[in-house]
Amino acid sequence: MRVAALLALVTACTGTAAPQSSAQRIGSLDDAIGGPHAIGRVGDFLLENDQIRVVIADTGRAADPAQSTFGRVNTTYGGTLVDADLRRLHGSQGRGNDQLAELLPGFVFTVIDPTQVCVPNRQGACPKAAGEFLRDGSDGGPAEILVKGTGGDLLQMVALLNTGLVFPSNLELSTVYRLRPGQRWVEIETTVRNVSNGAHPFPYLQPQQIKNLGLDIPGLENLQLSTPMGMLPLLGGEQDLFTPGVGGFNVQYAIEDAYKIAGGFPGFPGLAADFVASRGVGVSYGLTVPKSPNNYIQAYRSQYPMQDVTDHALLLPFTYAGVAAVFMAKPPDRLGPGEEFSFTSYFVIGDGDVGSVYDTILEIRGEPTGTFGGRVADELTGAPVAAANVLVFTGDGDPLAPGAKIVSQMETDANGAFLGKLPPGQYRFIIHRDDRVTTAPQPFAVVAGEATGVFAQVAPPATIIVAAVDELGRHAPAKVQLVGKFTAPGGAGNPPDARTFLYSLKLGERKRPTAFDGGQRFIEGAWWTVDGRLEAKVRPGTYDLVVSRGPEYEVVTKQVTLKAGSFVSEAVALKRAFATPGWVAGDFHLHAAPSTDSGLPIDQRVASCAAEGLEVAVATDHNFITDYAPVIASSGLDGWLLGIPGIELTTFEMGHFNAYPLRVDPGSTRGGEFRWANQPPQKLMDQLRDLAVDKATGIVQVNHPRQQVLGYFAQFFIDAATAQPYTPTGLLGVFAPYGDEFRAENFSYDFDAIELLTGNHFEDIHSFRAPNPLPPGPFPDPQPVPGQIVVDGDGRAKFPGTVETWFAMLDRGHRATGMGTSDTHGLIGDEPGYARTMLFVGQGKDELGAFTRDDVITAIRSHRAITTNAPLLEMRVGDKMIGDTVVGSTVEVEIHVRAPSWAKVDKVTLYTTGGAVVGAFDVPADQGTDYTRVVTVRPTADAWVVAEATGSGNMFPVLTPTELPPLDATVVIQALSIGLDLGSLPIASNLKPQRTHISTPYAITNPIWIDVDGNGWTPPKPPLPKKTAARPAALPDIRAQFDALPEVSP
Amino acid sequence: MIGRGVLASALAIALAGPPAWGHTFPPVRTAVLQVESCEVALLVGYRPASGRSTDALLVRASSLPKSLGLATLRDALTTEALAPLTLSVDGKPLVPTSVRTKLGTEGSGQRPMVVVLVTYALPSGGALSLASADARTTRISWTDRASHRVQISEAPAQGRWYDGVASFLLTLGATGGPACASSPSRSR
Repeated sequence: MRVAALLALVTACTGTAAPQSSAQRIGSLDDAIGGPHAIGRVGDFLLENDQIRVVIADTGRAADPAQSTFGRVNTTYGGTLVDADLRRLHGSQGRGNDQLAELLPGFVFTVIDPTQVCVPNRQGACPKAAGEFLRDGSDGGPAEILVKGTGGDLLQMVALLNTGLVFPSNLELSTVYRLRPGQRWVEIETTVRNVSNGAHPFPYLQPQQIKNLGLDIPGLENLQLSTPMGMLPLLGGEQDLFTPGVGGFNVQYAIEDAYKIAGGFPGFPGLAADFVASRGVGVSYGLTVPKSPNNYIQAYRSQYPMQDVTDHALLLPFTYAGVAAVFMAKPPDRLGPGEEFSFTSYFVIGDGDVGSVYDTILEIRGEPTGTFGGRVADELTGAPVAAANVLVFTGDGDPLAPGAKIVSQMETDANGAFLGKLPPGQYRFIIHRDDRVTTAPQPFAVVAGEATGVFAQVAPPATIIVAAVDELGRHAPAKVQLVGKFTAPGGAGNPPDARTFLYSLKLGERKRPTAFDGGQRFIEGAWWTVDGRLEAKVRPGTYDLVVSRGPEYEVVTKQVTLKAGSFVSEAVALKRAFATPGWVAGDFHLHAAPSTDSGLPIDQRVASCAAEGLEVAVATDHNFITDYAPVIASSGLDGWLLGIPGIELTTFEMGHFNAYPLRVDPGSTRGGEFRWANQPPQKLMDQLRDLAVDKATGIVQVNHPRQQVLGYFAQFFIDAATAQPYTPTGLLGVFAPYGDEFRAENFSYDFDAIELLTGNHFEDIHSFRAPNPLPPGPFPDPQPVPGQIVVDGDGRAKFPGTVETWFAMLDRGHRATGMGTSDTHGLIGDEPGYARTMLFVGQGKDELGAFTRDDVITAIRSHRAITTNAPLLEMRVGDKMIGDTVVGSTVEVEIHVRAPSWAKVDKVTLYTTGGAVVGAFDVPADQGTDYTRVVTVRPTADAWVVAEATGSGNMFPVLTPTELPPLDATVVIQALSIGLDLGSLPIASNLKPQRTHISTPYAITNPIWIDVDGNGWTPPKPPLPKKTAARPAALPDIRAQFDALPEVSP
Repeated sequence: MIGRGVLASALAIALAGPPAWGHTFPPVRTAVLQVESCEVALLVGYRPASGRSTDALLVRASSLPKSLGLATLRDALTTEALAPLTLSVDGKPLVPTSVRTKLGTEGSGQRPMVVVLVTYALPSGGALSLASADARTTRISWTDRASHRVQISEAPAQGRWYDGVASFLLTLGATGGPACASSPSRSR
């Protein structure tokens, strides 16, 4: 016995113990993974071995709401794989590097609504009694987690597809997550079982049957449909999605290109890929499938012409905001009663590059491989080059040509070394880093079982050193940019498509925004500094050095020539464009790393805010309460920036709502506890107010209200003319969410603020008017009139504007404060502070330390706010200002607009009740930076006035254009609807707002209210219907509460 | 609206919410004052600080026979929970008529917690005060249970948490006290 124990001890100490895997419920957060997107919590399940660790969420149906996982952060239901990381030397106790948002099986868009999550017993079922032998890995075999449940809609808007194709009511859905010792992948076995008494066909309904249900989509009856099943990976904002072949890191646009060559149904359109992987810092992820006769894309091979369809092929129908669909399997044509169908996939965890994921995929497949490795060094100094991308292409053709096929991406370590497996064959490689010139392609061969080594040198970068001071000589936060000039090749379009010659998304290069105005300028690099000081490595070249500090400063430009291996230093003095006494600049919609779809570290977020001249930064991560204050302090920015904790409560289909200032609960893995799924709007708003520091004064803000799918007004079909919801008919009704929470009577006006301008979404500000002349038709009836608002058959605006809706609310006495925000998730091309809100906090208080968080909130509540992306647009009546009420039947409204020279205004408009234009005034060219106009208004009844200023100049490079059409969920719907006639849907119209454009100056004030007769301001139109205020519930008896508390024995 | 579920959910969050990983946490104490016509009930939730002293307490309790260990833990935590709190009328401390404690652990099982229900007879007087000697870690809320004792119009909002308050004050009306002088505490 003692010998055995000694042997066991020796074995353990020498590390030769056989690796094991294990599955267990998490009893302490110290057992969880941790990391930027870790949301695993006590009660979830941990599956781990000697290589990797993953967390599968519990059902989410705990009795205690504080422990609930239902609608935790990303998707609605529990039972999904929420955290994943490598096993790390110091990564226990919740200090890992999980960057995965979520991974879940999808049956078209049906997901599992779990009734059980467990470590299964030997029979593969959840144990019914203690003491059963479990598949927990303790026997040296695989460890498993079983998730079993019914079908639930991930998106109500595509419930039609779920019902018609899957009909989940007849099915039991389950997934087994299986982990074997020593493996870097989780085997995922997903099963659908027919629990009905009859046969269950796939698709369940034929198109004509779907049509007979009343879902009358023209063309539906002519389609042949299919029922794809697979996985829905939400890889997270830190991860760059990759597919081998023509996609590379350009998956989003490669999918859109695949739509253009789609063969049509029954094969869903999308990109065929041999596997899916990602790239991230320190961890990466991948998905693959085994060879199978049930492979979805192989089953419909002829529908994917001109695409490489391998034995392991996956279909990517869309990727959006970090969410992707990966269709893998085709179920049998029918399942008899009690029959089931299973398909298998593998979820792989890598070191941070695609290559490490691909190594594992090749191991899973058991294919012969050789190794390819080497070192990368600076050709001038010989120093190793770390974090360089070694991109491997197939051996034929030019790797930089659009049709070139990429195989893998490996990243060099601190010693400049890289190593990876490849199938035998001929390849080429290039080496890329954003600060160096990409190398020429080099051929190499891989032989099975042999190693191929290379030593590669890359040209050195140049170094730029900048020191900027403001008008007081302070090293103020500032943005530094290098702006270059390009020559577009023929065929690049006008404006040229920079992706085709200036940078390659496919290679994983960063975007280099262009001026997008027919000029030839582009941004080579941009840095947001905390103190105006910069030392950066850049690609050699001749550039304009551009230093800026937001709209209150002029830009300073100097030409610099940067040679390889040398450095240039420049000192810059910033000049103030105009003073803003009493006003402070805030951005009330900012994302950073805690958001699933943003990979930006918080320190970079706060630096970027300060460098853009913001003085208030409100953290609004998706379903996560973040507080910037500690990072602002550690960054030395407390003298420049005030952080306010907040959240963007993010629903799938009901819109997004910001709230601030909020309490931060350090005991929660998401900063606070709330429920966003399946809640009517009032409940969402009530929760947000409950989370506020002060429930009475906390702000609830409606974000991008007119954005399709993501906007509250869009989803409730708010009529811009009445500011009230209506019930859509026709196709709009087919694609409307069906839940009770979406009933028109559930729409709530219990919000305090509305985003009037979000980022560069100028197209959402005003209702869309038909251009003059009209573009080529045909157009659906009613026929558009040039210059007039484009309307639908019911006479309502087809693309209603946020401002028109806000005006309608003002008419009816609902005083939500108009706000400007950026909704930034990144940096370059997604700059914070554009738009922003200028808030009047009081004369002499516009210095940090002189105003408080309460002053900011008071200013919002007092409507002393201007939405702007640069111009400061003030409006006064005598000594009254924006947000005030004046008395009189004749009032002189003074409009005063100031702007930096890079954002001149050329038009000022004054609106009043009903959105009527009191006057529109062209601004003389020499007054574009400082213009005053007095307008006499003579209302006959109580009224309001709002001023708006616009410019037509390009604000590049301070503010970048929208060059690439922003993808939104409507694209997904369109893609899934190929073959259907959706011409009557606004999104399908060929007459719609232009979504790519330069960025031009814009500002709009909040109102001054005019009380004509001095008897108090009366809304000019009948007030909005008020919801019956919920009576305060009786507060619970604490004695009864105490009696109801269980006593748990420790 | 203010009070809807606030008490229950806040108690649950404050007491059962697991700590984020990699941190140590100060003690958390919630105190809900319920004013009735003749009595005051005080519900105190308490989770001790993470760290050595709590670990030592747990070790000591676990080294004893189970019943004795539970009693030790219950007594120690009840004392810690109530120690900084003083309920008084016009400056005169009230003496509890009953103290009941329920013991539990947070989800991870690593930190114990207690919920203590203390009742007091409510004498007549001008001001009812709940003072905390450790305001930083104490959240106070209150509710009126048809007491007709508190001047509601002057009172802070019910069902809402007040952080960092050293002395929570309610103004009492003239009625009540004497008629209730002999009313016993409800026993459960």
